[in-house]
Amino acid sequence: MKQDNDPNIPDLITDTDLDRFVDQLLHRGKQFLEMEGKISVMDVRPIQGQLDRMELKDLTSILTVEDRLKLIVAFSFDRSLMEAVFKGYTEGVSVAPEEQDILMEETAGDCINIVVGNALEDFQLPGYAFNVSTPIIINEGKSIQRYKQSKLTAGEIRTERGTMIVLCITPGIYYKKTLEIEASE
Amino acid sequence: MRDRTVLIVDDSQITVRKLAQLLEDLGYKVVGFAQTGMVALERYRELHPDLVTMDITLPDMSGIDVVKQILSENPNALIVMITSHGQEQMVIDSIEAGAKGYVMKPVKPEILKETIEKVFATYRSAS
Repeated sequence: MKQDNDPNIPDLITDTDLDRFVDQLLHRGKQFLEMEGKISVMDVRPIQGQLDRMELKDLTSILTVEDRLKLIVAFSFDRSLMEAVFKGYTEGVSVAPEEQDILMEETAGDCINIVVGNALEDFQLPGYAFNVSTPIIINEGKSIQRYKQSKLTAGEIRTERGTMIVLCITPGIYYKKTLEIEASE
Repeated sequence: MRDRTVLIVDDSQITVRKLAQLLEDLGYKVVGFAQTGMVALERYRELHPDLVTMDITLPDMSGIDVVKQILSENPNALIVMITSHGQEQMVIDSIEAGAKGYVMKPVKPEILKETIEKVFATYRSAS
């Protein structure tokens, strides 16, 4: 993986593309929940207006997309929804009771990995492949603040089993992997 | 005809299990799995599988680099990428590295079957 803020890495997401990227994540996230999690989705919508704070839910998967100033993507799930997705996603797969917690986290990781990887199909630069990090998981609710140089863009997918938040932070270079602000100017 | 053997390389345990189930349903014998690039290389040398399925995003190195390393040791190795990445350049990089096929996640059984059968038909006579 190349260094953050490397001028040799092109911009994947400009401000004008960010809303479209979040729309793609919501669209493909809905497909994942329906097809892989076997969940009925009730409503999908972007969250309008400037976001200064975002409340994460019980379980959150996070990855970074290589971009000149780093793009962070987080999917945050109500536990009830994640449990339902896990049940659908692992249908036909043998899971021992003691493995359930770790494999549920892996399901959240698979979800963001597949949805972001698929969504990047629509945001390509000729001759360049953007790398995506392996996902990390946060297993607790927390509040994410907007750093003054960054922008939070989000949407939500409401289902019969709970809600999933899609959050993008760009530039992500001011944030730690676990989404605390780390940098001063 | 003996069962054709497969090594699965993916950092997700669930994906490994789901893929193993699909492959066994298709008549292949899954002989091992690896969740990192380094382990994948060790397992390949130890098991000599007929086919490797390879994720691109691994914790320690790129799956494309693992493909190059395996092929440098065995130019006849058959490797199919199974990945969530839909970027055209990623497909080109994989094929240029020597992968023989590319399947997008979430994996559709019929696409997996068709891709693997085509790889064996193209690069191997029946064994």
